[in-house]
This record gives sequence, structure tokens and C-alpha cells, in this order.
Amino acid sequence: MRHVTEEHDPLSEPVFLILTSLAGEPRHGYALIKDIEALSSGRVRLSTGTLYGAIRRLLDARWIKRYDTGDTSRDKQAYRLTNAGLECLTADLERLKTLTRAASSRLKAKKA
Amino acid sequence: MLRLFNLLLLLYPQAFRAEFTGEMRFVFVSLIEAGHSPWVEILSLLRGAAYERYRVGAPLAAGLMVAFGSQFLIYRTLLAICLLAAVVTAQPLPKQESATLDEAKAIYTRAFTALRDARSMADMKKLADSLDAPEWTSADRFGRRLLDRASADKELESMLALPPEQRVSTMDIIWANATGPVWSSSRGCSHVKKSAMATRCGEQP
Repeated sequence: MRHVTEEHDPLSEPVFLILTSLAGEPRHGYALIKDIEALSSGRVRLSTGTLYGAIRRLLDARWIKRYDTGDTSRDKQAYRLTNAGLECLTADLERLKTLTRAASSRLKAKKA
Repeated sequence: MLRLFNLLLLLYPQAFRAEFTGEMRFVFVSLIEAGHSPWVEILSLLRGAAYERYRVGAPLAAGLMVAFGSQFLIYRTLLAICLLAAVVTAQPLPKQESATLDEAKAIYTRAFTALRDARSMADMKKLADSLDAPEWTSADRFGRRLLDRASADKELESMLALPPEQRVSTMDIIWANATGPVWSSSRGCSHVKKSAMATRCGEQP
């Protein structure tokens, strides 16, 4: 999968949204799903299989780590973003910004 | 529905289940309660399990591919070395001397004719004497001794009991050189010392 490589390959949308959600604060699985739904204005609704497949890959890549909140049970394990995950999210955000700027300038030129 | 979900969780690799089963079950229940479609969850579970299984199996598949590839390369390399060695060490076939070949054929033709025509053991001994030489012997192509005079006499004696047409098989001399002919027949292939033939060359058995 592209999003678990060390290089700054484009992130898939679910991974981008998971990292974005965790950039705010540590969350457990269900909270992640609800937050991502809110972030994408209801467009993206992650399913259980998709979410935990992505979480497993992100844990392997050490972009996120388990977060012990003290009162969380095993069923409500929270996750938080690591520095490596933050760097990848920032890099992908810059990539998207560049693309957005380029696309915007082309569109402006065409309208003009 | 939760039972089906639990059942499908078994499709995941053991390590994945040990790590995430509790969380996944909690999230699944929460989503269903929130009104998510259970079938979407089920399908995503199936897809996720297939992916995790593939991911776990991928190193094994890659290992098998490397092993097979290595074997293939080694086989090809050895084959190439063998072919190269064969080309380097190959020698041209010696030229067949037609006189030698004709001589060998003539001796065997006469001997076989005599074998078919023999009516008594005296005729057989005469035949053997015509082929005899001090080093009278018959050897196979590996140099193993097949026949000496005493055993030849016994065989010739037993041949008298056979009808003449069954005493010899079809034989063709395919090569003859300084040491003798190589022939093929329905019974095999052999090599006879040239000196034995040359001794009696031209004599009638």
C-alpha cells in the first residue's frame, strides 16, 4: 500500500482523514469514524473493516500509536498521531496545496 | 448479526484478531446502533479479511517465487555450462572406412549363412573355428566379456535344435573402425575385436 511507505507518496483518502482526525486529539475507533464523517461533511463513512485495516497499517508504519487514557477499556482503545505521522500528513497537505494552487491558476487563466 | 460478525472475524489472521477483535466488535455494535447498514459492515469485513490474509501470505508467496526463480536460474546456468563443455570438448566423428565396413559385413554375412546352414555340431565347430583367433572373445561396448569359445560351443550346440530361420536375428553393422564393428540388432548391440575378424577374413566358414 502506498501510504505505509517511507517516502511521501500520496495518502489514500481514508488514511488522510484518519491522520487529520488524530491530529486534533487522540480518539478511539468509533470516535474516529464519527469525526471523519463530520470532517468530510458526511461524504466518507468508514466501515469497521476499512478502519481497522488502515489502523493496523498505520501502527505498522508507526504513524500512529496506542494512547492510554487511563479509563479506556480494551474495547475502546484510543490512538494518537506520532511525529512521523504528523510529518507525513504535513507533506501530503503541502502536496495537495500545490496541486490546488496549480489547478486554481489554470482555471483562472481559462476563465480570463 | 453480531454472531455473523463474530464468525467473519475468524477469517482474519490470528495476530490481527488478537489485536483488534474487541475494538472492532465495539465499533460494529456502535455503528449498527447509530443506524449504519450491517451489510456494508459485513462486506467491509470480508474485504478486510481477504486483504489481511493476502498480506500475511505475501511473504510466503514471495519466498516461494524467489526459491523457484533461484532453482530455475541454477538449472539454466548448469545447462548452459554442460552445453558449453560439450561444445568445447566435442570431437568430430572419425571418418568411416568403407573397406572396413564392407569387410565386417562380409564376415558376418558368411558366419550367419553358415549358422543357418549348419546341420551338425561338426558344422557348428567349423563355423566357430572360422571366427576363432588366439584372443577369441566377444565384448559389449563397455568392454565386458560376453562370450568365450567354450560357452560359444554350448550356445551353438543348443542352436542346432532350432529351425534354421530362427538361429540368427536381423543384424546391421552400423559402424566399423580399427578395433572392430559396432552392430545393432533386436537383441542388443555389441563390439567384436577386429583382430578376430581379420584373422579369418576371406575364409569360408
